[in-house]
Amino acid sequence: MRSISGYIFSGLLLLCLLPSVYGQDTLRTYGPRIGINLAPFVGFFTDPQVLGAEASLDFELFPNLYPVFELGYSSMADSIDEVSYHSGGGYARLGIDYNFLDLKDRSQHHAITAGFRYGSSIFSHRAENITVESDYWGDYFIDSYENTLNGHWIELVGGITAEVAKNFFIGWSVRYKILLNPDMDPQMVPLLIPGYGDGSLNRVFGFSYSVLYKIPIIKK
Amino acid sequence: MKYVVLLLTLLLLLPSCATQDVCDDDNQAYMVTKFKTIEDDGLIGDTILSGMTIYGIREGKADSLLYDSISMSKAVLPLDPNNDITRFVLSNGISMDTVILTHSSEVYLINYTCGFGSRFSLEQYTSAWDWILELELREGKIDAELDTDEEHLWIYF
Repeated sequence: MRSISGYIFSGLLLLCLLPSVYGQDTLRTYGPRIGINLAPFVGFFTDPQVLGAEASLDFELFPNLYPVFELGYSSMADSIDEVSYHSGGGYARLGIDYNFLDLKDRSQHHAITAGFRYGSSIFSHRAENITVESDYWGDYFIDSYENTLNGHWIELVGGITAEVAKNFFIGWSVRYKILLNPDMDPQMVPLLIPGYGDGSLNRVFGFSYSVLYKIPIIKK
Repeated sequence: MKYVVLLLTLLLLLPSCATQDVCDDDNQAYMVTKFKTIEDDGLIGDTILSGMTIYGIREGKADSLLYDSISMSKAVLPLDPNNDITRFVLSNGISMDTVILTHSSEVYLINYTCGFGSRFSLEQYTSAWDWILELELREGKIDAELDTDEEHLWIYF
């Protein structure tokens, strides 16, 4: 098994040598790419409403290999019978995408990717007006229950990104998410883990639809 | 491209875990007590007691019977979520005893269809020992979701 430093070295070597080896007359643009995920805005129309926003940052560090960082916030409020429930907080995902699309023209940056993410969210959730009815002993009532939690999950991601104008992209992805700590709150399972979804499900699907801009820094 | 198609196909094959929730009639926690006896040969056996009457001791409230003069081999008893102690009086018309249970409790979300329920942790259990010979704890965690074969306390007469 080769060491990570070996990969990094050979990756850097490839990055330097590729243009000269193949003698391409087209140049590829490299730079940090910033994206806004528009998918969370769909939550505005769902019941219950889930409000959120998400941005991403990626960079083609090695040929066809894109480390990705995603940052977001989301919150929701709902009522379960007479109980009012609220959950909200921030999240971050770190991962990598690999581009399978082998384009002859290096100046084109369209991509079909597969990758993974590790996601983590720090959030709090709260329920108010909790009643457990008991005809015999009398109803049990508590004003509120609140807990601050840290959720962890991993995602398998498949996506397509198209460069629609110079340095401007649209991209979509489908995500299969696996919750790593479903028992984070044994007393109240979170209805929303920001960045993940319904905490009562150990596996969920998600999707993203992003508009992205790449800041052109290097051409080679 | 074929890798992506393959990947997406594999993902869709993985099971999704949506469940259909069926709720109980109520969200109280019930303790299941089973009546036992020690046979002449020393073995433990089930026993059916006739004319059994059971009620809980409720502070500041009139007694209200949970069971009224019936033959039974087990009793399903609601625990008091408003106190740390629940007391039940058991009687068959001839003998009488009181079971005293000390517990802690909390509410928990059963699921989003059924709402919140009670969950108890039994800490101490004793009786006045007027009639009951022994109490044997089988399961100290008692919650609103009762399984059919769940038994929490054995009462020896």
